[in-house]
Amino acid sequence: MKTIFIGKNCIEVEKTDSTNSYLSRLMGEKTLFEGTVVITNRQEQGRGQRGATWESEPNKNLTLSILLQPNFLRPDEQFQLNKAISLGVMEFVQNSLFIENRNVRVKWPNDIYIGNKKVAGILIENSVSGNSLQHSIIGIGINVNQEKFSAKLPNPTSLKIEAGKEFNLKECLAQLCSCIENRYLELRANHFPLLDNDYLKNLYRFDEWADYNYKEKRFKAKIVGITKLGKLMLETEKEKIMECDFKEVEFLKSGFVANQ
Amino acid sequence: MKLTEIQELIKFVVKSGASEVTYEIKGLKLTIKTPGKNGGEQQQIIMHAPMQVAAPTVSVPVEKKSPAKKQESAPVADDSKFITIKSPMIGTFYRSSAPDKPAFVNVGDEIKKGQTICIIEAMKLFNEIESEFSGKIVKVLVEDTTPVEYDQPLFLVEPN
Repeated sequence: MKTIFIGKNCIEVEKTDSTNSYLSRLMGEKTLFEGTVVITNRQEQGRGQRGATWESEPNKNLTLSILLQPNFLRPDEQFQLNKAISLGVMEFVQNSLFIENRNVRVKWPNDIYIGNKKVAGILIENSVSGNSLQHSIIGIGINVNQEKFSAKLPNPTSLKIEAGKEFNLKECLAQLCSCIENRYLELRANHFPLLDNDYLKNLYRFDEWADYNYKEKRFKAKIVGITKLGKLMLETEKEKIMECDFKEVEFLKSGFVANQ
Repeated sequence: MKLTEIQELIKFVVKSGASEVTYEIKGLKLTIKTPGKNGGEQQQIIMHAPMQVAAPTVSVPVEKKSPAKKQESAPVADDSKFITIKSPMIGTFYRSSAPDKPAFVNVGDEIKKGQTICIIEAMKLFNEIESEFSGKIVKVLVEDTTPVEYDQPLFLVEPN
């Protein structure tokens, strides 16, 4: 591991319900260093956003959690943490692929896409006391060597599907930790404009006309920015700008909204 | 100059979109600075009184643009022994860790300092909110899975 702190303490567990839950329980038992990683080859109840699950075939993928202590951020600055982590994971995916198929983007707020397919997901769970972030558990699931997915997933892919070769999971973990650490150090050094700029530059569908469902209405719009709190700014064909909350907006496949 | 007149002036400047306006009348100099379109929620007013009087700096909070606070029930005003736990951020309030899990706390429960009492989610980031003191939950002021504003009261607690 060529990092300074992320992954230096790496706890490998044969199987667990969810690495985020495991790390959270472990923190209740003993003091852990910042950068501690919990990784498993068999995550049985991987979690996504509230109520959603993350499925991963055993021994094929990366499912891990990282403990961070971004207590230099206020609760209302936490989307900056999301930007740093998303960029780190995205850069790991980019580096794993050949230059010609590096169409890797961050889908707001924190999925990683190759083309129009999802290769990785992130679940960030913070603890907040008063007006400061105490610690963050960063859960990451990356499809690495898995080739077949459940039919109910809308658009999954993996590094192997995209690159056409098998990956070594240990090497992948080292690379991933390094990519995330680089971005996290930028966050610690308060490089917010850099993170803002890189996040937008690598944002899936940024400045492109596409179809959206917002508050039960379907229309064409383009992403023009992200607010400080992380809301998605969509501009409609009538040049109206809307600031959308995560639960209010859905990215539609093209063709849902008729051309006008 | 009356306070209501100053308030009117602030509203006018905020509406106009100007970032700074200086207004002088009868030896009183008033500078109103707004944080711009995407700025915070406060307008800073600097009053320069004439002569030897030290210039006081007054910050007047101006009404937020966000919708009115949804407060299910107001904190009991006459009971000063209770403490309200307020939301440290804008987001969605959840009383449990997952839809099929029991609530972190219920009315009547004893809570300890550092204990998780709710989750506030913002843009898919989940925040477990810890109590800053020990006590007993007297009232839950917000409905499960509803939006909360910054500083909105969430729980009424009787401290130990």
